[in-house]
Amino acid sequence: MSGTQDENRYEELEERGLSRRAFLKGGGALASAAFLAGAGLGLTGCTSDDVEGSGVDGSADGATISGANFDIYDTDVLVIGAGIAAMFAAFQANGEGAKVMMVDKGPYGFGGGCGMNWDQELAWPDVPPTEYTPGKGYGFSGLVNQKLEKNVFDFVGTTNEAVDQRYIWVRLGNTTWMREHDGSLENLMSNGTGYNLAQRGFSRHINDMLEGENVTIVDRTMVTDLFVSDGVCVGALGIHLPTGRYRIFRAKATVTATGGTAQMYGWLRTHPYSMNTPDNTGELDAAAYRHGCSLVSCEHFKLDLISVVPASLGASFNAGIGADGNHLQYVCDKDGNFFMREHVGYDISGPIRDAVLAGRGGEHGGVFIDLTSDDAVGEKKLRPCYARNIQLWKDQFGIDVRANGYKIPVALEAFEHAGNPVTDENLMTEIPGLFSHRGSGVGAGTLGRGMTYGAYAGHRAAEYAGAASLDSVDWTAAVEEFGRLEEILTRETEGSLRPHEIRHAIQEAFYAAHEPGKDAAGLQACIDELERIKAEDLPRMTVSNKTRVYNVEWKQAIENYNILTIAEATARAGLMREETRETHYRTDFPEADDTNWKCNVVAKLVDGQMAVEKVPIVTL
Amino acid sequence: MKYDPSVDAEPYLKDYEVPITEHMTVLEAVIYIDENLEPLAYDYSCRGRVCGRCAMMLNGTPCTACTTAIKDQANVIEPLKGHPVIRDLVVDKNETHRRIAEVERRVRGAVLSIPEVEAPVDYENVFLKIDPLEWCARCLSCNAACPALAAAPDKYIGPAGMVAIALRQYDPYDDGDRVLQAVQEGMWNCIMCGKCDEVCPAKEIKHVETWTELRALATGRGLLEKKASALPYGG
Repeated sequence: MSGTQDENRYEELEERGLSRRAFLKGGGALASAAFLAGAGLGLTGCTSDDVEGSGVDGSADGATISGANFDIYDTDVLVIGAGIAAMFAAFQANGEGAKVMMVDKGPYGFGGGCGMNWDQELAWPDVPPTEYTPGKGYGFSGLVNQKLEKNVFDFVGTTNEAVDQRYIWVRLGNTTWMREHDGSLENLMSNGTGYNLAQRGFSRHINDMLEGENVTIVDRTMVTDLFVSDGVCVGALGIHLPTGRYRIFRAKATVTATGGTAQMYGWLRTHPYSMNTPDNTGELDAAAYRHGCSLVSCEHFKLDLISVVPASLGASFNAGIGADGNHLQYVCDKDGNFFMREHVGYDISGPIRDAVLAGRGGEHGGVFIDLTSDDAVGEKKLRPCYARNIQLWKDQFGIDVRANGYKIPVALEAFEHAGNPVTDENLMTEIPGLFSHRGSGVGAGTLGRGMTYGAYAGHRAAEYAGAASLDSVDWTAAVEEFGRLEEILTRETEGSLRPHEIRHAIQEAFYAAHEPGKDAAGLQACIDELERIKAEDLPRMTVSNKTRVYNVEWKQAIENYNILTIAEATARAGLMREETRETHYRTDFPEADDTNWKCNVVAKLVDGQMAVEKVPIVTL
Repeated sequence: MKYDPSVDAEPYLKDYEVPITEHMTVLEAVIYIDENLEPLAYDYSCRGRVCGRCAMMLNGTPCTACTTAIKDQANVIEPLKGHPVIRDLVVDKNETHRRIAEVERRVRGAVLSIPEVEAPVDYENVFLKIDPLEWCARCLSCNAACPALAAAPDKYIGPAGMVAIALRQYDPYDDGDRVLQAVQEGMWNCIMCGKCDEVCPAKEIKHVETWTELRALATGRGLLEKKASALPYGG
């Protein structure tokens, strides 16, 4: 920045009550607090020249919010998220010399899906590939951008050290993985399947390792919007949850790696029909969408089976008992037929839906797992993460799953959602400066993809940051966003609804249209209901407690807008795709239709409405 | 227990009537209160005792709310002992988590090679020792129950930190002197009462057995001194 530009910039900001001390370059220290025009803490209600109606007066001479505080953080590469892809992006960018700041919604190391530290299974190609084959790279899906998949393949390389993902995890802190009795590494697959599979990985070791690097980690901070200035992404905006203070993150390049949103998938006593985390509510994807990005592959989830009784532990991976494509021996229908034993392939959702729709399931809307035979448990029979719950259920609830005749009710749960902003072959989204590690295709959410695509995003972001500059930033967008959030907190209205009521309405409408299968009428009904919730219920949503300290209701209210956007995109894309492919299951179009549908479906904001359209798969 | 530091002078107990359901957990009761009676600040994620975020006190005993059954009786639910309370049932575990991450980070000089990772390990003495410890969710229930930690937090890292040190002691790729580290972090201040074993939701972890082994190793090396207090004066 030139000296004159600096002075003009600071004068303009000082007019708005910002102090020069508010700006602190690089990582590490928190910036000192800055007050917007109008001093004083605590909002008692907005005066008409401050905040009006549902937002802020965004006039050209700058909007103001009375009395709000915010902190400013400044870095080269901002990584939003702290899971596998985010960590690999951070390691990569940091290792390439960029100054990296990571911002996490949860407590660092314990937030998001990764923070569940769940006994992770890792899959990677059996024979190290010598050259790239479209659809068979780290994208793990036939719908991926092939130019991008090839770029990632070339970037990762073909050395043993690059391809052996189990080794990479050990290098980043993991210990022995699962061992056979002779002490050798266990491999659950290989033998001609084309993939290795290892279990007993624990991602928290990688979190610990990253803490030892020169990366600044800011946690318990919910990013609510991207910071876009003159059409360029210059960072992010959010709330520090413990204090309710607003935070602005300025960065030359931003990587969003915040996982998939599955929070719309129904409600089962404590959680949706999803093992995924309540943290992942689609903030960044919805923000990207609002700023004009196309969301791709929303109609796809990854699913497997998990217990729904006891309902208090429903859809919990680590307290439940379930089954996925690698462990199907004891899945049975209501008559006890073990109908999945010949199944080939990881995804099981199709045959499970077939069985349920044919009336072979139970009242709970799913099938069963029968562990009562002598050979059902023990080493190599049941994943350790499920097996350990046999004792838990006995101890806590007196349920004995091995008792004669007991069948565990299980249902399909959506553990990953594929929807994310479209990117080019360098993982940059339609907004310059914003990188998203996912791109397209159902493979999003696979650990191996998170590692490789995440690292590639970090690489590209570091490269971009090296050439970018942040000379002048228009603060209007930040002030407007904080005004939006303030309004959600302070809103008072007739016939008010609490955030959880709206949350459950979204979940109920969505689940009814997606399980056990989708069809046009059901999806349209879901879309109509989501539109109604958007138009009638969301404006009546109020937060009954108005203090700022860790306000869970306020958080839930903000999240609701985003969950609804992602749910709507999912339903609309699902309605458009008239075929059955991978996990997208249409009862009215039960076959795959390559002629018409070997393509991607995107959802985009057009003239204030969500529009869906087909786009061709990007091939080499 | 309710507490909003921005408006309350101090924490206070409030009574709520919650209808019991079949197989009800503490988490379910908390969600019921929040949705039906009064907003409550609470945190959770995995619902399976692996993320540790829902750890809190039930009738004076630490537990993971998600996997702990609640009985049809009067119950007292309080935030997890030993950490600053952010609001209601949400506490700030950052300081303890940063300490544990620090001691858990592998100490090693040379870059690991694939042959080293592929090499067989001793199944009984390495794999079977590490595997249970990997289940530690760092929920810090053990720390909340530990009388030695409560009596002298300056003299002992606490059971959760000690589990992390033990993991690296058995880690075949770690070169650090973890027995020395255990002693330095106050291993001898533990009174071997077994409260950690009682409250830990990861039943695979055998705390007292692990402490016994570490003590034997420390004794064999003559590392017998208790950690001194960090007090500059009067310690």
